[in-house]
Amino acid sequence: MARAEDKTILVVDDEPDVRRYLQTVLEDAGFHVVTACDGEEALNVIRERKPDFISLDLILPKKSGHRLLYELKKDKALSSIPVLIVTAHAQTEMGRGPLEDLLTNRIMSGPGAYLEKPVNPLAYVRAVQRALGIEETEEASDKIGLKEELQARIQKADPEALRRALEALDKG
Amino acid sequence: MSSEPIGHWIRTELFEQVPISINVINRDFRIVEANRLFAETYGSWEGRQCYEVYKGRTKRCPRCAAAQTFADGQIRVREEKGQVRNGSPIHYLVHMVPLTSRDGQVPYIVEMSTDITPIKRLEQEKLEAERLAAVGQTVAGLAHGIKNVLMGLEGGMYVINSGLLRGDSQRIGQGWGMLQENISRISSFVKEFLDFAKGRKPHVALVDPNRIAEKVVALYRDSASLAGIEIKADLGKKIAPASMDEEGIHTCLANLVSNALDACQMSEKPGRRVKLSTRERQGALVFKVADDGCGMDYEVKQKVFTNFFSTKGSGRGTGLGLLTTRKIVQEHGGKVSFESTEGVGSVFQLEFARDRLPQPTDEESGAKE
Repeated sequence: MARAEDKTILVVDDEPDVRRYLQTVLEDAGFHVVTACDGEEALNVIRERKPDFISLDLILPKKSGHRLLYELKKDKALSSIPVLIVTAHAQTEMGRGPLEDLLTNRIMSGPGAYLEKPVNPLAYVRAVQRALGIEETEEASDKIGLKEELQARIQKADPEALRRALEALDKG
Repeated sequence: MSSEPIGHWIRTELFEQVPISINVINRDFRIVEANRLFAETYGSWEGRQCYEVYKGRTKRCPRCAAAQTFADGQIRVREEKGQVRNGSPIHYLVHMVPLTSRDGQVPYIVEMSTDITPIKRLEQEKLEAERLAAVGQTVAGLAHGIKNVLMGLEGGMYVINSGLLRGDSQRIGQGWGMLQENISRISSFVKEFLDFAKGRKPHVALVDPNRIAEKVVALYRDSASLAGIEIKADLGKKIAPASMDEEGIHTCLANLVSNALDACQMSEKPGRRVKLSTRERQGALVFKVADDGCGMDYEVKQKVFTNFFSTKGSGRGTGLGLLTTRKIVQEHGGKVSFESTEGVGSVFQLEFARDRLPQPTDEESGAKE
């Protein structure tokens, strides 16, 4: 089993707060973390440090995450590094286009291709761990637990079903 | 019928039957002839002055087009606002055709006016819809901006927590800094957003566009020269007064000039300049703010009008300036556009088609004196 201590994660985001946040979350899970604040810096860090995983914001100054991904894809040595997109723009006009483009052109694939900001720290760590074949930390599986899952389910639930559930509760 | 001379029909039937109000005025602006539709629309006219019948005025209109036509014999077309027989308002398009005598004098003018009130109403509704769309975009953008702050706050708490668990005081300090920063971001957002969403009814009046431009340049002259940037106003001659919300336009120009100065400060070139110009172009009033600052790359251009997007770094700029500018410009029926080249500079342009400008708030040009 791979160990977090042996893995280097690159966090790319133009917001210093987000970088600091994600870095702390990953370090707490045992990873080694490097950061970059724009697309160009990211590319330099990737070439120099050959990270094992990239956490990538989509809308970035200098070179967008979208462009960066296309460049990585062209480079054989770098195209195999797993990437997780972390964006606040999955639903906005600005981000939807690039994201759809990445998914339809198979630059990115799978249900775990991106996370939406604000991210849940444990879901974030788990996504990285899963991609790198690292056993989920106890903490992670515990805390994400009941409350988060319930919240997620309630958000996805169909209003009619909720109404019926409420009725059932009232009767009970 | 065929035996009647065609000229007779034109003189009698056509004059009475056309779906256009026709009247003839003499040099005293007194109506001396009118067709049936005119009488039906505007009421009795015999012996009355045109301004009285069309607009319910007691004196001649300011900028009277008929007076100009009497003077130069030119045909004129004007959009006017008046009142019909029962006093309700009407928008009409009037053609003024001089009846010129052999010696070149103009003793009479024929005024032909078409009721364009329904078209005007549609135009108004369209403007209104555009305004609402701007509000919608803003609200969607706001939700996004809040996401970023939220992430900063959650991040701050997480980092503090992590520091506490580990007894890592540096980490606690970092987390604390994140909380402080994001809380101050919230207060500046709230302030700017309230400005943006201000329910203040724009006070639209006839104003001199050049004067607003001059004021804005004066406002920034000191801070520009402190930063070693030259700022100047390049004012077009013959810029007619325009019906606008002076405070709103001032805000727009101030936003653009302040952005231009920031762009210059981000550039290391010597002899940096910002120029605010005013021009009249094809029925539109155009303001331009040009700088030879740092310019914008492709990504920044994409995000220019997005809420809370700023390249000025934390603590400067909340990213609402251009959005506010666009909202105000749209409320005036105008549009914002820009050109920018990285490393060369940017030009922002506000274009206001004169026929789309709002009506003055206090009805100076309306029916009553």
